[in-house]
Amino acid sequence: MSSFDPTAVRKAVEEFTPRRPQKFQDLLPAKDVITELREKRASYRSIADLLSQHCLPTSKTAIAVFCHQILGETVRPRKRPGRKRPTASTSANGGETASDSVPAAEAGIPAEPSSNHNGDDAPPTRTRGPRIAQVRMLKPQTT
Amino acid sequence: MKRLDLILNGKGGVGKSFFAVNFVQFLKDKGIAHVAIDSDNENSTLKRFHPNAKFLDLDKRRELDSIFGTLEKANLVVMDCRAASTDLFTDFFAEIDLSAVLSTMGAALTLIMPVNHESDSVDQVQRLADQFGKKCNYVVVRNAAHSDSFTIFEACEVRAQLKDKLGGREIAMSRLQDWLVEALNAENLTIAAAVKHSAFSLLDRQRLQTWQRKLYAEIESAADLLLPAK
Repeated sequence: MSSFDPTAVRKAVEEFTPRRPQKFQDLLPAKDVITELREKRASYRSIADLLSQHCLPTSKTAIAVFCHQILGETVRPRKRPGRKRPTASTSANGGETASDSVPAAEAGIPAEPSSNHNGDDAPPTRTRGPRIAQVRMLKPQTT
Repeated sequence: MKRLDLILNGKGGVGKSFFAVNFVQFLKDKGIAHVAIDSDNENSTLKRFHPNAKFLDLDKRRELDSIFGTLEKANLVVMDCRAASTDLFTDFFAEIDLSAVLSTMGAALTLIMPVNHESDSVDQVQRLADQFGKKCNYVVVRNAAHSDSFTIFEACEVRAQLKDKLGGREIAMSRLQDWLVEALNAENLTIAAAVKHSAFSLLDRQRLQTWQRKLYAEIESAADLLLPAK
């Protein structure tokens, strides 16, 4: 190599292939297929399985990332089966609200002993875990 | 009729053991035969002041049976239940069908429940009343050690329920001066012993006697629920 040859370098650059493959290089040819499967509500796992069965080995995580970054799917936060905030007990029109119809256990509220003032009913049920005092107060007397 | 007195309130620090120590002393002073049981494995206060009290380990489920074994031989059993033991007793009583056992033994159960100014202690009374209803008798000890205000208890539903429907009774346990409580604890002395002890001044001995006299009068006002029927 005697001197710098811009033409030769230019040709070499044009022929250069990066060692690192382009992101999603393998999955891009299957973009239409993946789009169609997602439209059919296929899960990431089932898409990965299907492609793997047809000589395109991949993982559900790769499909998920592909769907988010290439197909532009939005990521919805996972619903957690945690505590729901109780809403107001009565609606403006006095009708039943959501909190009226949701059992305490479903709403994440510890089940309280049912009223058993005379002691003749079955013993109230009890749950383990934190228990916050809820003293029933006498209603103020109206005159 | 035999009597089982359980001094019970799941809330700690409401005066269960303090009342137990003085109630057992009352029984001794009045010559009333009884068996005292301490079930607090972390702070066995009753046993500290009354070393002849039995100890029962609530963590060993079968040991609970010995409460009724003891009641078979004695007319009066007084048990100081440790804090956070409400669930344990409710489960145990449900398991053995408390009413049937008491009926077979010719015995009655009285729950002695100290309360203070806090919601938690009142909530415990509510739980017990809801759970046991008419299956037992109730004596609420208004413990003024920390505060002489009982606003929450006085305005709560369970108080009226105990009074009007369940035949419950209330007795008062007034505040004992801090230095006297400390001195009693330092010497492991009951009041009955302290009033004869040289470590206490004349005036302090008088204070102790006055306090004790008032408590004994309160206990006697609920004697029909606390002592065996003659």
